[in-house]
Amino acid sequence: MSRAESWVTAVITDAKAVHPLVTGVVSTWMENLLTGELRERQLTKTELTEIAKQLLNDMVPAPPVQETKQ
Amino acid sequence: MRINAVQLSWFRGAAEPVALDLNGKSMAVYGSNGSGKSSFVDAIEYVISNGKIEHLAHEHSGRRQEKAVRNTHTPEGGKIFLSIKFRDGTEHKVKIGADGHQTSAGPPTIAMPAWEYRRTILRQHEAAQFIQSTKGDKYSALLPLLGLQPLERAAENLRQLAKSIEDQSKLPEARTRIADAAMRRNSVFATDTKEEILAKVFDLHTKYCPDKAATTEARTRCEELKTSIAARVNASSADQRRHVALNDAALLDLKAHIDAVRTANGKLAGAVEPLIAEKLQVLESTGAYVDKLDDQAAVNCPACGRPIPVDAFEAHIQSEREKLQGVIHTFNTCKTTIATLCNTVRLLQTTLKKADLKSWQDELADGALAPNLAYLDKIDSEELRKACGEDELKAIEENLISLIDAAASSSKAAPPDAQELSTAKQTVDVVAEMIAAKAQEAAAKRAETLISFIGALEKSTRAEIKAQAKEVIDEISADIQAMWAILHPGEPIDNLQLYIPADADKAVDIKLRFHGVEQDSPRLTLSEGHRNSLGLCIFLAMSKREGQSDRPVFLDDVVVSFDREHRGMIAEILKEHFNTRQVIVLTHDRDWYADLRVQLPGNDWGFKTLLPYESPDLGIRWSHKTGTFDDARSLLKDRPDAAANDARKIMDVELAIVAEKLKLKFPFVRGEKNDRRMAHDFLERLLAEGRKCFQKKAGADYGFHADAMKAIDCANRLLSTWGNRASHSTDVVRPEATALIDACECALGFFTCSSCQKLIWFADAANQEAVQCGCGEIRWRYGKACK
Repeated sequence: MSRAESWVTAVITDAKAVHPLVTGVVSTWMENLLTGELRERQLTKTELTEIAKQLLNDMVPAPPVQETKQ
Repeated sequence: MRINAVQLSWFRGAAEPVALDLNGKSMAVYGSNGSGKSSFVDAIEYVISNGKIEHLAHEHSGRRQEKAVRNTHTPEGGKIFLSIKFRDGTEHKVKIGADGHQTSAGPPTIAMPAWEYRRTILRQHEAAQFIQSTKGDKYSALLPLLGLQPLERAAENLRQLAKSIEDQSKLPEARTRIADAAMRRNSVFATDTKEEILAKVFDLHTKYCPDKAATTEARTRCEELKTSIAARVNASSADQRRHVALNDAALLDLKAHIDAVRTANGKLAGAVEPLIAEKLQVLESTGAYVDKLDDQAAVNCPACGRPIPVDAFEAHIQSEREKLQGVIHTFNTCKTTIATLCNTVRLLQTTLKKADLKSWQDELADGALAPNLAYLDKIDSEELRKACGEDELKAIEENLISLIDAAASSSKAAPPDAQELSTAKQTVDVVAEMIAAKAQEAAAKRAETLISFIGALEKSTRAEIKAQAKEVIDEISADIQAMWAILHPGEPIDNLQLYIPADADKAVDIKLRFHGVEQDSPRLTLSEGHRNSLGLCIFLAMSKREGQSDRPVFLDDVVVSFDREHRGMIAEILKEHFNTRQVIVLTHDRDWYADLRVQLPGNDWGFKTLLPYESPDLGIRWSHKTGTFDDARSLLKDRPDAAANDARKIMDVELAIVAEKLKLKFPFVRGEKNDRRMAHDFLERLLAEGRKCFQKKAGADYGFHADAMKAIDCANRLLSTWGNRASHSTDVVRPEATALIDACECALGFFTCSSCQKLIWFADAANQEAVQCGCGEIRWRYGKACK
């Protein structure tokens, strides 16, 4: 694991500990963004708006999975 | 990538194609002022900076600098071009049209246009620029070296993302709607508990939706109730519908909304007015702040102008930011309350204009409330949204409250069934609003959590940037200190460091210790010469950092403000820190050039001299010799006495070096003491010792170098006669000066081996009591064996 990747993992873990309401989907996605897209170039307003909308959607906790009997 | 040659044609001082041939080696180039040295540096800058040369950027040079980059005497059809050839055989070519338009093509692997100017070229006037630049500019200059652009981009993207999430979630509006719903709940249900309210909804659902008893969820019950009640209202009599509509109008809490806007306006005024007054002070205090930067004990805050200790600065700035955030929040709240008021006014317009209320309106139109109705018709809610001050609020209050009161008064006379329907409608509406507000509250909380999470990521990213920047900056500082120590050994100025100020992001500054006292800036105590010296060290330390790229470094006349002692040590830095890099040094300082020829290793370095510039037609021309006698020859035509005098000065310098290297019996101290000795003194000594010490190979053995001694003797005689005469009068004619220059050049030439081209002191001879050239053809025996 590169320095950048290990640093991002640590940062996400720390931030998640302080913000337990952040969903797993959001923290995983932010980890990917921080090691990739966010570093590569300055995102446009439209791109940021799209990410913002999706992140807000992903903050809604997934409904509990119901066990089904075979 | 090393450069093999820089070729110019009709570019700047060049006429017909002229090349600086480097063959991948480092090079020291000497040329008197105006000889065209800098044209080669200009060519490099032209390519790096995509056709722009900074010192030519002025109103007279033309849009594309076409008036400055082309030789003024370019003949018709003369092609202006540059060519930079690299050691791998590739070439970067630039053709420049008469209008300055350029066509440039080069190898992508080398990508010259991507080279960083600030780490490739240092010119005389740029040496201290880094020191004098702002902290932010220093950081920008260092940023590419820090390799932190990806993290910088990430931090900025995170900041923008948090802002975008705030915009998308419309947090201030959501908070206002939640508060509004709470207000309506209190107004309709007072202290009823949630269960009591839900029980009321259940009763209404049983009554108005008997066929949907299976529905249990409150939200669905409310939706079903809304549909059912609306259907009942539509099916009721005109009188009943009129009463329901009047009740709808009567329930609009316009007064509360007016009060909310008034309160928000008041808060905003309270927050903004002192802020404006405070910000007005900023202009004044910023000036004072800059003035007091030298004294860091206490500075005036640039945000508010108050004096504040430096250690409290960061906390203070944070509180200023929070204050500003508070004002922004108040501003947003105010906007939202105005929006709510506008919506209520529009709802009142819609409600009172319903067909069901036509008769009621007709009654009012004939009475005292006719102007109020006219006002309601005219009011433009969009205009109100833009400007809603106290005058507008008063007008709304005076005109519309009485209309609502009238509606309330009329609705009181409603028949019981209409009254009941209206109350049911109100109950369902408020419960539906409460349910929606609850969902909004959860969404707002999620958005706030997300914003805070991303804010934490941004903060961590910025902390990482600082940590990584510090590592690199510390390494660069170590190089600066090492180079400074070479240039200024034993001087009481040390501990020079680049550092990141604790109170700022994206900033770098320089500190040092001056006679044991820590200084926050070199500009506090360093002289111009020291500042230039430090600037050179910083440039070289930053350039060294790019070692892997193996790009060349150009130093163009950077020693102008250096004294002889310090100037002489630059070669030591180049030898120690740049022994694997290609460095091109250009200078008009003849003494320094002579020093460099001796100090820098001949295997890695080449030496060239330019002929004095004669005319744009002839352009830049190289001398075929590495010495500087061509400078003197250029004066022969008009001032033979000056030419002879120049030759004597060259001999003063060159012979001082010879004497030192051959350990002649003088207390040879580099620097000023030798400056007081004349060429004649050195030549006398050379003649006295040379008869035993200067030897040339003769077969298997060595013999007395008679030709060299003869040439030295000749130069000595001519210097004593015509040279002295040239120094004290103008009574020297051209043939005399020509003979003197030739004799001097000839005498010095004997110290370079005609076979291997190395100087006589190139290597120690095996017995350690002699020095010799590279092949051993000539040698100087200074030890006991010579006595």
